[in-house]
Amino acid sequence: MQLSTAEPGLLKESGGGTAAENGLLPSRHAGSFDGRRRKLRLHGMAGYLFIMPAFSVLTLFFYIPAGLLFIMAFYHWNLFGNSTFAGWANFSTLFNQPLYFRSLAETAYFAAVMVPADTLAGLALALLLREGLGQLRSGKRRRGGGIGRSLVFLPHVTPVIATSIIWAWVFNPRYGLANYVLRTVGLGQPGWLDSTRWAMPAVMLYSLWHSVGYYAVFFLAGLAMVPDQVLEAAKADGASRWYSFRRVVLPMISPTIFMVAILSSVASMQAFSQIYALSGGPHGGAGGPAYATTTDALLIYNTAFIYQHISLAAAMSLVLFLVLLAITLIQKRLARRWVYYGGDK
Amino acid sequence: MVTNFILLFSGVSLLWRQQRNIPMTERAMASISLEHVVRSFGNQTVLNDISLEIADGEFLVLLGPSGCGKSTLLRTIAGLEQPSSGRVYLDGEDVTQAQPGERDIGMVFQNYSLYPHLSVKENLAFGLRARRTPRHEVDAAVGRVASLLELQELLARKPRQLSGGQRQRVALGRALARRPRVILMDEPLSNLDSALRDRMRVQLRRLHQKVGLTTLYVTHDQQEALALADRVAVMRAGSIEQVGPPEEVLLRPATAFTAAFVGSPPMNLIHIPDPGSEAEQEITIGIRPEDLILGALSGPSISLEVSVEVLERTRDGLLLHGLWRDREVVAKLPLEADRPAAGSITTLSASIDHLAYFCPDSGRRLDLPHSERAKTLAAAQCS
Repeated sequence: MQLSTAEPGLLKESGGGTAAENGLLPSRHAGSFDGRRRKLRLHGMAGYLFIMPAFSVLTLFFYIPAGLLFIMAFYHWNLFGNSTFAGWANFSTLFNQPLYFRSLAETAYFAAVMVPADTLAGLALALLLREGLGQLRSGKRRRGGGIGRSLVFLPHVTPVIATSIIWAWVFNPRYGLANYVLRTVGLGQPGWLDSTRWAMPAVMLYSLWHSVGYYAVFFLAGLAMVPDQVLEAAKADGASRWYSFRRVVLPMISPTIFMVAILSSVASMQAFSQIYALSGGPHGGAGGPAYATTTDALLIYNTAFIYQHISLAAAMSLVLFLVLLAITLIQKRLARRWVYYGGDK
Repeated sequence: MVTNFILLFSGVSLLWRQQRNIPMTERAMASISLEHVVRSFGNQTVLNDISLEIADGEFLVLLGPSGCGKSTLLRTIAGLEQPSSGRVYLDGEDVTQAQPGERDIGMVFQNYSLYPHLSVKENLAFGLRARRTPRHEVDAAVGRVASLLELQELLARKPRQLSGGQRQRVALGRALARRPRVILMDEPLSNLDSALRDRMRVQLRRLHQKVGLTTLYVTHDQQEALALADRVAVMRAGSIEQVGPPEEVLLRPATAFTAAFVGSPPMNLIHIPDPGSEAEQEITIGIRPEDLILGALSGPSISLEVSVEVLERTRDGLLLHGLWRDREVVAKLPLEADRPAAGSITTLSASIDHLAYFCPDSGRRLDLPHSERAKTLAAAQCS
């Protein structure tokens, strides 16, 4: 009630009185203003009620555990007994471990290859698919479009653990498909998952197979936003295919490129399942051989559930979170220079 | 010393221009010539054996209802579509197989199709940049086009920040910046409101007088066609019905289709039995609404007893919509004419010299001698 009496006064200062106060309108209109306000407040409550179920599930299983992580990182946490405050101790332990820095380096290596690979291969696949679908369409076989897109997307909907185990067979040095192909074309055959040098590239190949269709679908949507007429205008302007791709298509799909880059950065820095499965996780010794595939996520898992050092894992998660946040912010800042959002600026 | 320098410079520039094939005159000369162009998609023929000559510097308008193939014809000349058979020549050079970029054409699209992520300046420069034109030349061309179309103030803006008319001018400027041999326009004014369209129409004509480029302009709006064209080509269902100056198309339509399509309101077409034929064949007679007067005429004429349905006032006359033997007939009367009441029966007459005769099968215009004309009407009991 106090709020509503204050309101007309404010209006008076800025505008010289409402119509009701100046006697232009019957005064009951001022009363109905109050009524509407109360109604609005009730509507607001209804909104909160509607999001309540989803919000409580998220709180219970996401926000509270995530918040707990911040606390655990500063304690010697005992899952079943008393926990004691540790201050920065977990972090100093962490930063004195060469293995931790090794894992960060492996994560960086994985992400540095995966982000450009996902983006380029996704875009290339989308372009091929579009071209191919265009051919099919002109050939009166419209059905091809949906099937092609589904086939490309299919690897992404397969369970990572299951297909990783199949790919472990592909990478078998003696009997695997990968080395069979290399042998057939007369190239050297690496030991793949058994080799410290080739284990990570093997994981990358699998990851690319699994994710590229997903990103290609993003690019297909992005490419569909480029009007055919604008491309025709470029053609009439005398632009070569490459020139109009570089100067028209790429800038116009820059929001998609940016989104894929962010999604792929986050996904590759959190990548766990395929690395776990391919490096023999189910049989113990995940992250091998000789820590060659021990990324940050793998080390967090091993620390928490193999070495049973929950607080240290929490501290590592916290650092990973900050790193991801920083990278996303930097990408967002950089994006202002090259991403075209179709706005006025 | 200075003279020597100037001589040397002009010599070098001449050589350089020749090498790069840049025309010395303000504009390049170009005629367009189409020979038996056919375009079909599956068993549907969109362009049916089209032959057309467009002279250098001419403004030719392709006029036709939507779906008649006029845009496809334009796109075929631009190289965005390939003809199924037939040849396209630009200035005598066979360009049927050439890429759009090699044809040196400027194109203006119906929805402008500007590059939305580029500024006006970059839009204008796009075609030149794509051809690796030196920077100072690009800047000069952009400056020239910007001043021609009064775009100087807008160079830094993005297409989104422009009004419809401004976008239209940028689209035009983009087509002109490369100094094309020919400019092709696909319904360039159809997205503008009517006041702006009137203004842009005058500007387009003025621009053509200034630049003098060979222009091919597609529209379904006869007002645009009559206002802009040196010659109009009327198209129907993939064929050209008639090519000629606007007055000729308007006053002496070559076919019944053109007669019914051009003019506002268009010609009245009525069918009467033809006394010349043994079988009871009909003949189509065209009467321009302007040629019909109230009451009877002395001398050989046609008279129609019509029941008056609606009287419609327009800026420059009174349109009488009536029914004659269950067919609608429109007469354009002077504003000060006596107004017959709606529902009444009145007589409309036109001199026999003003009538157009069309073959009812082919729709072609028939040039009947005076005596034949009168006989036909007498037999039909219309005179």
